[in-house]
Amino acid sequence: MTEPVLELSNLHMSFGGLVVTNDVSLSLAIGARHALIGPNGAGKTTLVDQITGRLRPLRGTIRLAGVDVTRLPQHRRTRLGLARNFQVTNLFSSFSAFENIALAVAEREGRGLSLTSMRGFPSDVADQAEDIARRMHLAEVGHRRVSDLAYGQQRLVELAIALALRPKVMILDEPAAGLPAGDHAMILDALDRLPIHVAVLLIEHDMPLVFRFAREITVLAEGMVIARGAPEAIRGDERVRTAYLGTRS
Amino acid sequence: MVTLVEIAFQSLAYASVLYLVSVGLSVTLGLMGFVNLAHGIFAMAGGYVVATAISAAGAPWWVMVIAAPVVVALGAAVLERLLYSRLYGRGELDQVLFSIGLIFVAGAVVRLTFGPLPQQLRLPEALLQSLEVGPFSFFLYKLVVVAAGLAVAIGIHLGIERTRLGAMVRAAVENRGMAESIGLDTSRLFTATFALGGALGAVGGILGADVFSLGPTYAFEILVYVQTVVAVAGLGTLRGSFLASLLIATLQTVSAYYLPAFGTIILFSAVFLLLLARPRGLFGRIS
Amino acid sequence: MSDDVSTAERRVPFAASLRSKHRLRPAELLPLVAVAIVPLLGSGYYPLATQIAITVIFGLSLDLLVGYAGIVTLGHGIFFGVGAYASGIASVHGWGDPVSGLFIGAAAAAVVGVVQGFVVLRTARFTLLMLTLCSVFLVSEVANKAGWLTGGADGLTGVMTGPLLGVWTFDLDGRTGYLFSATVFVLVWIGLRGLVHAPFGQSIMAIRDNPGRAEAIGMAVRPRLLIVYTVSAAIAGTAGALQAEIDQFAGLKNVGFEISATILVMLALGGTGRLYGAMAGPAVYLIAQDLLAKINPAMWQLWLGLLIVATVLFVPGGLSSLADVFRGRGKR
Repeated sequence: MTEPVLELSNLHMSFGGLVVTNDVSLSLAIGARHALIGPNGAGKTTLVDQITGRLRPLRGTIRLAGVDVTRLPQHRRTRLGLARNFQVTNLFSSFSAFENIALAVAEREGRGLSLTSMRGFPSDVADQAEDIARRMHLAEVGHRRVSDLAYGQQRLVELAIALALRPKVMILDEPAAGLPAGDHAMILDALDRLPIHVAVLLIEHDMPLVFRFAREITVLAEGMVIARGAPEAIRGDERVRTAYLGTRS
Repeated sequence: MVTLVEIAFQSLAYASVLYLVSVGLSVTLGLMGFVNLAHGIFAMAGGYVVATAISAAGAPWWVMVIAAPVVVALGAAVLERLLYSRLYGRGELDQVLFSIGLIFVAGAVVRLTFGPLPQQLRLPEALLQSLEVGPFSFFLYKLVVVAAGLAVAIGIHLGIERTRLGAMVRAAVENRGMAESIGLDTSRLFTATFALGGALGAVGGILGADVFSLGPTYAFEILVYVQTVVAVAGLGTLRGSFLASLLIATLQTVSAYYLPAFGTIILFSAVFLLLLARPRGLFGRIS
Repeated sequence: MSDDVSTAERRVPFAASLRSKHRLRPAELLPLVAVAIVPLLGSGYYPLATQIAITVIFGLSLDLLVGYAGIVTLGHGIFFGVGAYASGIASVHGWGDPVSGLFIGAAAAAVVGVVQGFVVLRTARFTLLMLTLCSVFLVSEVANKAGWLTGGADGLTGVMTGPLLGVWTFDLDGRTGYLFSATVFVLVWIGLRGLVHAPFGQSIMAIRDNPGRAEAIGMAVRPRLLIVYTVSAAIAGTAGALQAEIDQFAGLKNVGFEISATILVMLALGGTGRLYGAMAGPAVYLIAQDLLAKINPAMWQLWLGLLIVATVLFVPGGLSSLADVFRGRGKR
């Protein structure tokens, strides 16, 4: 067993008296396809925010590729190999899709402060960005401003930006959020083509998508891990069913 | 002791003026998120209307203190409907520029109509005397100013807490989306509060004509004080304005007594540090 | 497969489209043409043209903040003023060399910029605006009170600007002053143009668009904004130093709220986020002021106010966006 590339140990977080993350541990190996599911209010987004650095846990540690990142700011975690998308599309609105990707490529190469090129981006950065766009089926619309793209294409740009960072770990927070079910195939197709060595943590409500994509599932309810296992095991798990049904009634 | 009471009284009177000229902005900024640097033009308008009515038509001061704010409120409502409402949701750069442009226009109109020199606002004789209480002496006019300031503060407090309009304003300031979703007509509410803010500003301009003199550059000169009160109080608070005014007035009055040379430096350093420590102001909920 | 190839051939590669997006447009050379024409007009135009050149440098520095980084400030006059005072004070103390004087002004403004920026950039929007407003009142009051250093309300007298490069004296008809200012303007423009079209400039605009996203792709947002803030302060300081050298004077009018608000107005009239807006705005403003304000200052103020209001309401992109409309490119 290789060392996990993302390892959460005993994370604990609360707002006021409300415990939102209760002793959560989770580890992702290289190439993991892990899904995090749970009813609304289970604390999934809070957990994502702790992993990415928008929130700091009260207790517990987060290790990324062997480095303790619990106290590091967001951009340092990104540079150590953590990429994320956003639940609500969140792009650089005055730039084209290509440029959005190129911005990420330039940062990953540490050339964000560069003054050497006067064409926006050096041509090797541009070529890489175009290559990633092509892989995400965005080449045809890459010149358009992201704000002019269809919503589904914007979701793909989100994924392409994450890919451009060449992450070790990708946190995908509801990559299909807001898309009609018919467009899920497009996202799933993109997910299938993610590099195999990248560990992916998928947070998703759409169960067909989760069960098609994930090889392991963690179920969160009221801030706690209530079940973990292969998709078939989770599907039949009684506790999971009660957790979901419990919040619906 | 006498000096302390004197300082406290002066601070209170000055605070009342600051409060009146800025409370309207607190509401509109909190409610609509509009950075309106031109709020001072309402105070200026109030002052000029009264000064002109008294000197040209011999109108009684007491009547004009009530009548002028009504006129200004109507003007403010028209301005809000015609111009301000078009810029809700624009970036702060556009709002800042627009309000600077408005200050230029208002200043130029005043200068073309009344000339470059400051206007005298003649006060009623009855108020130009002192009230002696033991060793203390209070200028009657300042007592009226304090009374007006306190009355408005209490009125707003009660109005916000007890009336339906108040409840709507409170709801809209705290959560506009929610207020709209339960069917509040926020656009009419905006106009109404904008007009009310303009009227209160006018009262402040009238009562504070001895502190901030009525010249064409009035709105520019008062700008930083008005903005400072609002920033110190914090956005989205309706009660913080009075305390913020009091704080700033006391700071300025005390330094005017003891360190007159450094008053401005002390004031802005203090505000700067306070905003750094509390970017949302003393009572603000929105940053 | 053959289908793929044909679409790929029709499509312009990204690198090529970047080349065309960032290429030097002929219209961008118009300011240079204007600079070259001034000496042909006769010496009567030197003072106005010099003032335009200085103000344009100042406007360019502000555009970097407002237009590119999205930082709206009401206190940019601080840096202009610090630059003016620094080079003026150096000159009073015997260092009257105009070229190194600019560096003195730039360095002083950069130091103030890095310190003030470190503090104010921790906030955003309204609070940031208020902090810049407080700063500008604070700095101008300090300049007012520190009479031993700045001359207080009377201003700094005894500024003597030495000959340029030890050769050309600053003559009465203003020719040397103009050529010097115009040269500095061209250099600043070349530098800034390079900066905003470089990956660095693109990343600044990305922060303006979406700071949270910028952080998530690995940018250290606040330090990067601080770099831009400092660069902008240094350029504003250069403009201020130039002003002090040309006027042989530095005073409270060079620092403070009025000049801060005025430059913001000029920039916005020209259009933000496009360097030529920062050139058009001050030029049009100063020429109009020169023509109108002499006749009736109040009327000038009225028209200026109306123009600002109309611009914000109807032409949010400023004058330079009208050029796009003429070229039929609309908002693109």
